[in-house]
Amino acid sequence: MSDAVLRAHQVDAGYRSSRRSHVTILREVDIELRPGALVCLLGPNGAGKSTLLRTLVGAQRPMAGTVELGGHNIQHLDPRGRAQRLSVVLTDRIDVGYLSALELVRLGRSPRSGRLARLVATDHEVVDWALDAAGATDLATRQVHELSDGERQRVMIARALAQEPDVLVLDEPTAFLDLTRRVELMSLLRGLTATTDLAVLMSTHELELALRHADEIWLVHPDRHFQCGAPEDLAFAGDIGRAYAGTGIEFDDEAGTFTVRNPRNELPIRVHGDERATRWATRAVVRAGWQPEPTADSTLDVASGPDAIRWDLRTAGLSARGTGCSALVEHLRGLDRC
Amino acid sequence: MHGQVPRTIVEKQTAWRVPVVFGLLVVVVVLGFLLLIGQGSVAIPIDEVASILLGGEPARAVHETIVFDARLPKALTAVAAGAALAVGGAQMQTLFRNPLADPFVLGVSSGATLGAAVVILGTAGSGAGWLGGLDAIGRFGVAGAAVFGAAATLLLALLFARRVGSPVTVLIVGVMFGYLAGAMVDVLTYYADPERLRGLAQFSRGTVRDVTWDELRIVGPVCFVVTLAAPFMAKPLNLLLLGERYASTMGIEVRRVQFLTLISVAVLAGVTTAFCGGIGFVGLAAPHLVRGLLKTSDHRVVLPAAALLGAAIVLVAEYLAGGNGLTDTALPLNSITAFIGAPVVLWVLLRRRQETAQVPT
Repeated sequence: MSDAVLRAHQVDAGYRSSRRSHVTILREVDIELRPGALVCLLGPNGAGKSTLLRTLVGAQRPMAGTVELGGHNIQHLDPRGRAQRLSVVLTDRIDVGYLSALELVRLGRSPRSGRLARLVATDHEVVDWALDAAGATDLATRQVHELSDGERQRVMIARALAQEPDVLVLDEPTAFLDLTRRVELMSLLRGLTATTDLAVLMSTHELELALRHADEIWLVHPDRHFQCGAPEDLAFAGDIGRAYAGTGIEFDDEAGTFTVRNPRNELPIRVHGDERATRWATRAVVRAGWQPEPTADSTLDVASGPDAIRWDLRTAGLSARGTGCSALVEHLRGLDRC
Repeated sequence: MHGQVPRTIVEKQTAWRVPVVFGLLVVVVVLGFLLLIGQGSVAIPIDEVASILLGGEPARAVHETIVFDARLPKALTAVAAGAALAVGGAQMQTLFRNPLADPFVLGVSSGATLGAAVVILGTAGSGAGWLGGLDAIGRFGVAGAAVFGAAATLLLALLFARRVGSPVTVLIVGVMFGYLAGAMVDVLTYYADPERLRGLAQFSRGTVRDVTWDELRIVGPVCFVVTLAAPFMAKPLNLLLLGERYASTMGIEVRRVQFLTLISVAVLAGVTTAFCGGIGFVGLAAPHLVRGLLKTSDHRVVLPAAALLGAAIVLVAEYLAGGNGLTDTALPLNSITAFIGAPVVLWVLLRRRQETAQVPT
């Protein structure tokens, strides 16, 4: 398609290890980022996400191929032209001394202002919009060094938006945030792409959020194989699971989430009962190190009680009944040890 | 528009601050300037000083001579050197991303001294004579060598700063550079023709007292032009506050900005050192005090305000050090500036410690 704002054509990404020799990490990457798309770059550590990202934003030269930003070869754009089309949020800690959040966001107008950085009415309107869009309006009067990590991140995103870019690239934006902030950030970015033509590309380790919200996943496998596609397609084909194989977690296809691989010997058990009780009891069973299987000899009958799950456990060795998953897990673990 | 609120709030809070601070600084500089000219072994009232400077008739003819020949060069040099060092210090702090950077502390002044010493002591030929009546070319040569020495030290310090990162370590490296350059000057001095040593004496002192009109014709315009040009670099320097990686994504050529800033600092520190010697702590203290007063790091206001405060500091320091006619002995200028500068260093270090303790990295 021709309407892509950022496009990599047959790009080899890598780095120069010395004057003569190059290390190519990813080969022949062909990707397109379209307006209004939210794309997550996923892959285990060390697979080359950062190298690819640096190549795509023009911070380093591709070893081969071209990266095009708005139809221009990104290596031929001057910094100002590049900054008008693409803005970046990094993980770098910033130490700006005395600067209010508002002043910091105003710096985002630099690629579009004159030599003395004088701002006109339209600039102020964009700054206000950027603060609002990033949910940072209330932070404007605060000094940057007083902000928490999550707040500083929102201000840095507002600054990036003030550049009025076509593409916003974020490097590991969820890294220093707690869970609620991560979800908030994701919905903020999702909202931006839904309401504007902004294209967002972010690298992240936040697999579940990425699978749930991204329009497209760019997946770097540990063997440097590169893939892109809709999150559901990659999950369906098992590619997500393969990319993270051997990292101590595994992809739970049914739930669409990642789980910690259980270290115990997994004994089979059949969980039966009403839908809600079965769902939660199954979790307890997995946590206790058992493997839910529809055909197992051991059975666990469950039913929703008024405020706890009532269960009835029957195995080869023993049968027991009780209320609540705490007791259930204790029993299952006890049996496991026998 | 929804976001209209914060802008007006922020602007109301800070609108008075910038004009008030600038107004006060201008008043202090003008008063300090007149006071320094008026006071001395012969006291001249401030209003008479002002009228003489503006072309009025002096009460006694000798006053005009005292003002123009004896004291005006000193006062003008104090303004030029103070402004130059403060602007150079502010630029260095951003260039190094280090709040403790300053031409004196990082050994740039020592590098300038070394450069000048090489020219003064090492030039063969013309004999002792050219030191007494240093001709224009000789003076330009010395100033040029000092600028070169300053630039070389800056470049070295910058390369080290890239490797070690920690501000305090960079500081120690700078101090070592200073010692090293000082030691090289000592070695040069040891082997030098004693006749030439007189020319070097003023470098080690740090004073605005010995600058002549002829020398001022170089120091003045150079400091004036480079100081006035500095705010034109304010915008890219503001972006550099965010670090090189961010700055390069916000529309500037980072290397070019760093190069121009380095040249600017080298010229300011080099020329000042060539004629006034190493004046310490002004470049360190003035920018920090100004940021604290203005509550912003925006170079568009920090650079001019630092220039004014730097000028004020050197004027006042020179007045306290011996220009007041109240004491016979003249203190070294650096012992006064250290009283202002050293507490600022300690304050910066303490404040940074608190901040890093609050926010775990």
